[in-house]
Amino acid sequence: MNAEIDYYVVDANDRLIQVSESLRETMGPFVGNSLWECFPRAHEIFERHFSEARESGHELEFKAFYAGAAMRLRLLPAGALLTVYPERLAEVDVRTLGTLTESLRRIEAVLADQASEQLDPRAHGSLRALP
Amino acid sequence: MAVAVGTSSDHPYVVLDAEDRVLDVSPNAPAPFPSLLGRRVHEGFPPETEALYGPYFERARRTGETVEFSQYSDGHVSLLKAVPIRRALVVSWELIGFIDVMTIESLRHSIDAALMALTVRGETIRREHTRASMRVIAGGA
Repeated sequence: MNAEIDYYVVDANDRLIQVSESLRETMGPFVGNSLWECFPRAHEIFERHFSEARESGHELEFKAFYAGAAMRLRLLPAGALLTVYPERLAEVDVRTLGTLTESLRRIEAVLADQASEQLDPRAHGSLRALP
Repeated sequence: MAVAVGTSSDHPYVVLDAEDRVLDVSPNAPAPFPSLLGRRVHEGFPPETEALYGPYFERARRTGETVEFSQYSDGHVSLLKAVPIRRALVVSWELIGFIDVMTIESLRHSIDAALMALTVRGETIRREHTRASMRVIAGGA
């Protein structure tokens, strides 16, 4: 069992400058590049949270859906740097209509579960609009 | 084995024997179909696949009639046509949608688009069946 916590660090321009060993395979090749150039449409989901964390100087946590998964992200600002701890909570399972439906229900539950937490409102509202 | 009967010229197809072994694959059939020649077609896909497609194949063989159906599998929505020809079954398909999981918005839009495509194509198939039946009735009148 890999007990290492996933994390990555971005600079003031959201350039990836460091990744945990556990994320080396998926994110390692992108070190030195802007997150937003490497991960399509990530900018529109995550960037405002990154800015908010930097501006406030305080830890920030939120949930969002991206690339087939509902995830919780914890952001720790340190000067211009931002350490991001992503945690995958539920994933879309596209194999069959049954697995797709069930996985979407799980994701909706995960995102709805943070009613009292800070939520990406677009994620929750959009998911509820699913058939 | 060259089979063109019952398939649209630009849609990929596979030819199956009575045990669902792949006898032939059209040149435009994507992976993994070419690699499945001589093997059961279901071996190239998740275990659920046989349960999803098998009943339609069985119906086409049993009735001797073409079976058209839509199916969702592995993020893709397809319209399929199973045409029994002698002891073989020619299965052609058209991809009409896929599930884009990049963002909630793309997920929602792709599901909406797939549902719309299914509705439109389903209606087209139903109209074609009705039209064919009407022609038979008109011919007999």
